[in-house]
Amino acid sequence: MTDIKFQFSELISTQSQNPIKLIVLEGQLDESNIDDFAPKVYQQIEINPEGTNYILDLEKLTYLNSKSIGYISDWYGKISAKKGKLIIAKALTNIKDIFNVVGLDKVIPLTQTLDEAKTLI
Amino acid sequence: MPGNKIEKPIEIKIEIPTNAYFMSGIRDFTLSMIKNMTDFSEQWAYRFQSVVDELCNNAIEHGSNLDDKIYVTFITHPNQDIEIIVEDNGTNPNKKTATQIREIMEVNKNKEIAEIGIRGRGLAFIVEQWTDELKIEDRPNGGVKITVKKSLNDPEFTQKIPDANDPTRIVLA
Repeated sequence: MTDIKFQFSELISTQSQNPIKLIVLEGQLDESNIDDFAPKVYQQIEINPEGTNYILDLEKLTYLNSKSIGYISDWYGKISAKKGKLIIAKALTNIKDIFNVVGLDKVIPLTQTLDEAKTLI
Repeated sequence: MPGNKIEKPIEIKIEIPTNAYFMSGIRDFTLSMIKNMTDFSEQWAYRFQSVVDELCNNAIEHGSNLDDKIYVTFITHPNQDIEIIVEDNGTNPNKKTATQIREIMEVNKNKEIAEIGIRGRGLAFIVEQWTDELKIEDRPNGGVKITVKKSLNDPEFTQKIPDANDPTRIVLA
């Protein structure tokens, strides 16, 4: 299985009343690991209160496949349904290129920094 | 290394067991091969990495059964193009014919991004948009053969250098 490390934590922001959850990914998301990882995010979305926002920090994610994009798009739908926002921060050039070709960057905001992401929430 | 670029056409064939475990190795090979043996830019090396990964995932999901194999062929024509062929044996119970794959692609291409399910973006967006030619054929043995080609003469080619802090950036000496 391809190596993927992840960390869920809470971000403190003076700009947002609602909680912000930070999801940091490191490694590669592909066919061998995405189906095991995705339920962990669904679980977070389910247990966190309505209005919870999420920032996906992809600074150390070096690859993701189309199925992973499918999951991110689905998480976005579920987060939006609970009145939260999802922002993708610090994605590498090749990852942004993949978001662009599938059109995900038209749906989910991409930022260069965590501070920028926080200002969008 | 750029100095070692090969001037003659070269063909590399790889047999891969139908297990997603091996995909990271194929991606690494693709990235390295495109960077070191072709005139495509680094940006396109990453794009072909995705194209090959998506084609192989498709061949595993809809083509060859577990404990079977898929076949990946790279044909590079220096200063002209690269051709990538991915074939499966059609032994998977969920196998799709060439016509069915084309139909699924067409449906997904016409959907809004949020309407597409978890799957469906690989062939319809990544493979189709990052190649010049895409041919999907049934193989005589019941499997499917997908051939993609990208020309070096495409005017859209511009070398984009990734950020210096980008850990995926590789500087070739």
